[in-house]
Amino acid sequence: MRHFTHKTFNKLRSLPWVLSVLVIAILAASPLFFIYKEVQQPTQEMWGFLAEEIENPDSPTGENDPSPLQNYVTGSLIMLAGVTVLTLIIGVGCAWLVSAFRFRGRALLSVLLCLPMAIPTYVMAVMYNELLMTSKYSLFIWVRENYSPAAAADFSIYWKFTLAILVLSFSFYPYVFIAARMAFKSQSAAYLESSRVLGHGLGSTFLKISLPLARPGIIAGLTLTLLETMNEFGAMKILGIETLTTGIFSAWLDFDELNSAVRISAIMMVLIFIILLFERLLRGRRKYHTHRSSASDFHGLAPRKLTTAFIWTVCLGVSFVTFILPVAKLVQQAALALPDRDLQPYLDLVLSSSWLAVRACFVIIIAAILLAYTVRIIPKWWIHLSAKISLLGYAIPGAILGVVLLSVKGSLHHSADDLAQWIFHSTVTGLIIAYAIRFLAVGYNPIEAGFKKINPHLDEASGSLGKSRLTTLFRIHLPLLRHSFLAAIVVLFVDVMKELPLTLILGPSNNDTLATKTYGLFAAEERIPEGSIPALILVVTSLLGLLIISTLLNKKRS
Amino acid sequence: MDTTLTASNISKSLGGKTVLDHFSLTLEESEIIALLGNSGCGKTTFLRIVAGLETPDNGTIQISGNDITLQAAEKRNIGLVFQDFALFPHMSVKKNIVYGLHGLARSERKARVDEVLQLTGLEEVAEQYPHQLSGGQQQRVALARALAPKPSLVLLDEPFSNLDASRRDHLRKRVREILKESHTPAIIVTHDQADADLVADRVITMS
Repeated sequence: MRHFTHKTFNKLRSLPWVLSVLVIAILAASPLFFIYKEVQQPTQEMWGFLAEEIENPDSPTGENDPSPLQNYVTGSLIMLAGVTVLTLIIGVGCAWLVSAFRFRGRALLSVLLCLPMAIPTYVMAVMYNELLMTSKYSLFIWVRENYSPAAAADFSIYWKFTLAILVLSFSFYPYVFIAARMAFKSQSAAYLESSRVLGHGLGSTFLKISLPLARPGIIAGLTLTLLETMNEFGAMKILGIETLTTGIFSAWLDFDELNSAVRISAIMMVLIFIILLFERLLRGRRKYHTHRSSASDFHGLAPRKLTTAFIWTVCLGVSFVTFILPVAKLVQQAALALPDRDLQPYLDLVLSSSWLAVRACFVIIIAAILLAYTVRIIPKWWIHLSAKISLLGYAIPGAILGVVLLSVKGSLHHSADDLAQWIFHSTVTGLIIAYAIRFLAVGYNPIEAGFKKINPHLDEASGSLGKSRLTTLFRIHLPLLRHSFLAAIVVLFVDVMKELPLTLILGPSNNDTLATKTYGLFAAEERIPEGSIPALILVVTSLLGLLIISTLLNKKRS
Repeated sequence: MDTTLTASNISKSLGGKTVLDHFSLTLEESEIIALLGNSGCGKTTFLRIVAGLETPDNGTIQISGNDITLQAAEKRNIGLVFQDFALFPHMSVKKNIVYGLHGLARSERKARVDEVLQLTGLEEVAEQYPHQLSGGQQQRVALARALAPKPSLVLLDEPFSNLDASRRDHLRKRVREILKESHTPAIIVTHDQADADLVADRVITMS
């Protein structure tokens, strides 16, 4: 039977699948080629200004001030370092507490600790700015009066970086938390019990056994966090931090120089490749083989009353500052604006944003199915490689994809003006292509995981009954994969709804989304209460999404 | 002979089901006991209670006359060999063995590791990682790791069930030799009559 079905897999039948995978891979890799090509071009006028150090006659050491570009790199590195430390402490710490102990309300705390994912970073930034405005001001006055105006200026810089690191860490630590929680949960209880029997207490067991074994998972979560940090635009702009991403925007908007923006992108991509390289190295090569025979998953120890109180205090404290407080502030701000507001424009905004997100999800899901299914039916190394390349977009920040597509649009204007008009102005086609490149991995991963769980004998059975591979996909795989689809669609929908930098750059000017509207009201016009209404809608939408996902996951488990 | 372990009237129910009902047992110095019984008869639960990984509902555990019923597992100094050996996969054989010796000075630690490696015949694989070893070697590492801190007794949970059937007789003899040579009393939990016959001095059947 097996022999027979393999024989009928002729090359012609594979062609459409192979072609579609190649097209997706080329599309996904094209931004990188484009950056490479664009960097070979002569520099534009303002590049010199961006890259050159600034002479400072007042400098006591006679050294020049750093160039704007150096400032961007420094800003990005400070953010990366701060977010690494803080997300690891919060994420791994909380994950350990809710994994090591078994207590009432553990499930509730685990859910609470994931919720900050529902708050877009730019919303978190504005809410914290509002919350801490008066404290910052009085501290600033105090420093100025007790030290010097120069010290007060320094204080301002420290303050904004600290706040920015806190805001991003509060928004992103759930990635580390979820990854670490899964890793701790899947550790065999026998390892931890062995460690205890050998005379090691809980703390020592954590450091020497649990943490090293959980390292690959934690590193994966941290990598996601760092990529999101590189991608961050809205919060950085609102808090006045200059990073490579904000640099790309100012090269494009302030100087109107796309080539300079692409050059900054190239520097950024180098930094991102270093991050990905570090991930490979730190994950380690050894794949630990977990014994599974008698060993059960670790369900946690029964803590003493005092320990339980401690865990609740820590986790609720984290949840309070990262979720409850900013959301409460958001609700309060929105309530200020609500009474004298006509809600119709917001409703329209919800509908148009959702419609955009639905179309993007549709395209991404189709591409993800094509990729995952082709990898399944044609398990060749070059198909695997093409699939890997297709997923690269998750590492390319939105701002970079945005300026690259703008440059493409620029060159299209010369050769095919009508096409450029159609893709980028009269329709959102360009924006959806950009979303697809950036979020393909988000849709692909759950679907691929779903495919892996389907027994390959089903494919062979269907083939032997004379069904084509397309029919098999529709009649066998897709019905079996419906949970994976739902999970992929919900995550994608929320991600697209919240997306800011790409939408700002590529969105047609008359077509606001909830995200761009929120950001516009917050950043450009400083109308915080008005902006809080679309922001609140975004948060509620994302919370609903998270709710659906967690219900799905629970259902799967049972 | 002195008594190493005295378990009196141990009762335990898990999930509403009584697993152990007033079970008692004494283990003499240097003695090896086999607890023989089918799965679900509570023998593993008894082992976990002695190790301190579970608390009994009733009854007491004494070691050399001291009541340790409520003492934490990490304070008991009782060796435990898991059915799947539970060797730490990210540590070499040597590191696995050193893990339980954190109370000792560096030189003592080294001497003890060498001693145990020699006792179990693992000198040649000392720098290797668990996944590079055969099942029998993994078992000896688990035993070496349990013996290294000179425990007052060693508990072995189905130690031969994960091993190749053709090698079992040989391995049973080896385990008995090692335990006898180190003068360590032991309780072996098993459902296999052959384990009991070849390793233990005394067999207790549980039902």
